[in-house]
Amino acid sequence: MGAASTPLLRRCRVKEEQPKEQIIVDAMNFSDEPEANQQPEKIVDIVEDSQEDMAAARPGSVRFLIGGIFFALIRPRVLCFLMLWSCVLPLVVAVPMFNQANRDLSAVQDLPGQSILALPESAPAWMFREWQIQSCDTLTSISDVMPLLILLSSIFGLLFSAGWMSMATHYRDEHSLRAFLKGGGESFFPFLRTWLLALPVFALTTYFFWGTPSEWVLEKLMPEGDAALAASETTGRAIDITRQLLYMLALLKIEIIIDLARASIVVGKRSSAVLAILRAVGFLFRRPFAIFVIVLLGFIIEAALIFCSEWLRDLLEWPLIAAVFMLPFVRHVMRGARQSAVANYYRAATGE
Amino acid sequence: MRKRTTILSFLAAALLPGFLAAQLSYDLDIELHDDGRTIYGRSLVVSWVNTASTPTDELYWHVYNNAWSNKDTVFLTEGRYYGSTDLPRVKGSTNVFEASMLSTVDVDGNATASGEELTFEYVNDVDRTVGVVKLPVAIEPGGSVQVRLEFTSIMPQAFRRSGWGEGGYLHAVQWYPKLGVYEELDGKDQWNCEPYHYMSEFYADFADYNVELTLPERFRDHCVTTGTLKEITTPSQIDDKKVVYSSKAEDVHDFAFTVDAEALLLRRTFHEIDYRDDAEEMKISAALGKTPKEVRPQSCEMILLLQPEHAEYANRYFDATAKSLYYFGLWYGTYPYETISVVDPANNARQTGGMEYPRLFTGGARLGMADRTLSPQGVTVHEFGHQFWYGLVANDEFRHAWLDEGFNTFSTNRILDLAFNAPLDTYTLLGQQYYGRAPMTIPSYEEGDKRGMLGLQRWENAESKFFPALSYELRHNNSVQKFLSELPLTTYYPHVEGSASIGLRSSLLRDWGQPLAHPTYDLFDSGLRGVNAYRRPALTLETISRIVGEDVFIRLMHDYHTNFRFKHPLPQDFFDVVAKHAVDAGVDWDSFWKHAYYKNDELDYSAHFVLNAVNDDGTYHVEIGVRRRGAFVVPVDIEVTFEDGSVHHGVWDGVDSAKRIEIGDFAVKAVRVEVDPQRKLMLDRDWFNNSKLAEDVEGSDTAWHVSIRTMLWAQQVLHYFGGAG
Repeated sequence: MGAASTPLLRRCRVKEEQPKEQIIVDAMNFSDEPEANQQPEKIVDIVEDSQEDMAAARPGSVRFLIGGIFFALIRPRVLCFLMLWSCVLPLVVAVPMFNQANRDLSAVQDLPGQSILALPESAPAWMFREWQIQSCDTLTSISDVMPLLILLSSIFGLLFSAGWMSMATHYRDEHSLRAFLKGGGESFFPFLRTWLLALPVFALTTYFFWGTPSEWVLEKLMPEGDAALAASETTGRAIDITRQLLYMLALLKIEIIIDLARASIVVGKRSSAVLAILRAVGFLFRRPFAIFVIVLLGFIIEAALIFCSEWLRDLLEWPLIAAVFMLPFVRHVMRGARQSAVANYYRAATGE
Repeated sequence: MRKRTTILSFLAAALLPGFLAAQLSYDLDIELHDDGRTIYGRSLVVSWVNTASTPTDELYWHVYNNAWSNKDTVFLTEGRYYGSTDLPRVKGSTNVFEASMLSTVDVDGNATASGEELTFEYVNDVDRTVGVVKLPVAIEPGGSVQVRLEFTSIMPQAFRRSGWGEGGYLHAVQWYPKLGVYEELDGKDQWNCEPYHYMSEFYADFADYNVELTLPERFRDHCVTTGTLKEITTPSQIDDKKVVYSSKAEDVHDFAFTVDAEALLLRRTFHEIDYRDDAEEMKISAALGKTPKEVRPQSCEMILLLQPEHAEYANRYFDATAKSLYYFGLWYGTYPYETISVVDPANNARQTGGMEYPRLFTGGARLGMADRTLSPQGVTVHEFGHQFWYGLVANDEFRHAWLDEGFNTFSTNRILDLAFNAPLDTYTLLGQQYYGRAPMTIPSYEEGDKRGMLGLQRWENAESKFFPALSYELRHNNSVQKFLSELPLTTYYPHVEGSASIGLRSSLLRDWGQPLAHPTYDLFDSGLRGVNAYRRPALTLETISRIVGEDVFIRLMHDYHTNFRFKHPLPQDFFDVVAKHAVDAGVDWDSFWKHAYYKNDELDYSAHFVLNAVNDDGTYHVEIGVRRRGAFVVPVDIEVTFEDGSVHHGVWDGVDSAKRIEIGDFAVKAVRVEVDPQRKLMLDRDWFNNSKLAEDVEGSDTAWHVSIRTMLWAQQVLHYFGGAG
């Protein structure tokens, strides 16, 4: 493949002291043949101006993401394992829910004027309200497990994230679950440290948007900073929506930094989470949009695929349980694609 | 029968509905200051007739607005007891600075002019929500007195039903000294004039109001009142940038007004033909032995003071008000006034929303409400309903709030179920509502609860030796995050319908704590008011209606309402009406009220087993077991269903706590037993134990669907958090 014909090559910045030869990662030109992937490609850094760099970033990012999708799709063993994980963990709440529902609801017949039979698509509220009344303690104890599951899911999410990034950068030829877990295991603890370091940053962001600083800002915009005291409900609503969106944007930015830090850890086989985060911040400063495009586009494609899978399920009249398998498939493919794309992009851009 | 009326007034009351209103009148000349929150009561002339059977030389007055004058009033003190530390941002108060007696009239009609100055004193100097005027002469039964007061009321910033909001909104309620009710209470005639309690609303006699209302010019055509408005501004007043209205109302027990310079004032006329429900008309007219024409309600003007931001809700407000006028009129007799005013409160005065006054009530809405949330229709129907329950049948809200709130909740739910599409459950995204209901929720832990650390909601460090106590949110659960983590479009039940009547059963979640008979203002828990005053009595009424049948219940309620219109009924009055109409229902009503009203007995019947013993001839000997798990005894229907779909019905008296019942020998097996299959007993605490399947019978697949939906939801939540951070 000629360098001049590859948009990626225009996008990747290479430091002056680095050799002008880079390995083009399989995110963009993946081949199943290991040899093909090992063929180095020449990169010509033709963009000096950072503004132009940003403008040129978008198409390359897209190709990294698309490459990432294929990268994930052709690893069925990994996907099967992740889908199994996604099916097993929710059973912790689904099975007790089934038991309780079976005990309470299976003998219940229609109430006069009401139906409980159309549950997959609709449901009368009376049943749920009654259920909350009669089985309040049990249902509460079932939902009390969710925080623990979330914690487990977060920790294992680190392992899987490390697995995708490692495979994308160091085990590109591998398709086995073993390689995925091995790669994940190698970077798990540095990833865990990035996660722990991220928590106070999340908290600080939350404090900024929902704590005293935001109250100070809101006081400038509304009486006592309280939307309930604003003469116009529209004003209060607009401010609240803006705050929510900015908050989510801030969280997304932090997520991107953490992802980049992890890419830095995996690509450079580093272990210092602090340095990785600093490196990630620097990277994001230099390329504020490229990774954002990968992540955002990833979410958009994921949302579209989720919508399509639901549409398909409706069209084919598959039962709801089909979604239990279809959605995790879509979501794990897209998560794998995003993480491998970020790692590959980071490697390509930094030349490490 | 209470002996609170003289023979004369009793006879008059019996002959002339609304007679009691003539016993009391208020003539007011007031001016609203340009600040939009200060009311000058230039003159308040009250004429009062003693309708009790003993004389009195005192007049007791409610001065509710003084509840906002300091933090130690009864209302605010009780509020703190119940856990509410809210205080008005800007205080309110009413000061009476002059009182005089104008005249008296004895029982024989001999009038005596006076002019003597009176002293207006407060029963409690800190609370000041009850005032008393000592008269120089006792007013004999049938005699009357006319007194005059001057006062000034400063309304609070919107707080607990009344007040103003920045921007020109004022909801003026309980703004003037209002007489208590002189009646038999605890076995003797006395003034029933409670201070403004945190847990209760109001109680007053019916009266005629004649109010001259002077307003700043900006409120011209931006004003609604309890009475019928007529502008009487003189040229000199126009020059003073004032607008003056005359507002008259008869047979009402209070007078409220609302002004809002920014609001839209819309009018529509209710005509029953636009909302006619032939089936309901036939049912009601047949039950009452009248023609449909005789039960149809009369026309009425609807006036809506609406926030411009809520212009899209105008139709919802009018539609709900009109349907309420129609159905309430059909069931209980026509709405007797010529206007009904609806106020949509300003955003910064929401605390004035959802409250009722004669001929005027407040609704409440927020931007982005989906149509099938029934917002603001639900609150509109309910607050309108108070025109009938307490507005016309005026019970003592201090002690027996259930007689209006419960009856009104029952009536509201009937209308919502009858005249509106069932509401759908919703979730909110960026202030906009969408239909759907989560199969489960992630627990949200409060500050200090270390379990919040598990779900990475918050960090708690309350016991650290090195750092000060620390508790902070890691992630704020805003609507966007909730949407992204739960993917409602794929994981929620999309259309969960709610029956309003059945929704009342949520009150069964609570520990009832105290019986219905306990005075409302003295309930030990603020949450109990919602149960004991609203939902539990409504459930009780639903239970009665289902036991006695619709026809009997229609007659019963109509009879109760029409007999006690413009009067002050007590609970026993209703019990008597039920006993009179439902004598053939097979229920011991004394026992029923003992369980349902005087005691806190739990009603819970359950199916225990269904057995199919094989006889020698191959038939099945069917036997069932049923149980009464609570102390509440009432006859209950039992239904046994067989394999071939045939059904066997029976009635169990419920006296024994457990009962084996032999159904008989049948060619096919019995597959299920169900107690109360029609769910007549709305008070039954547990409906899920009402059914029991035979051992070898497979149940429905409901549990499967519920658990799959739960699994899908949990899967998405865990996936989201598995990639977050």
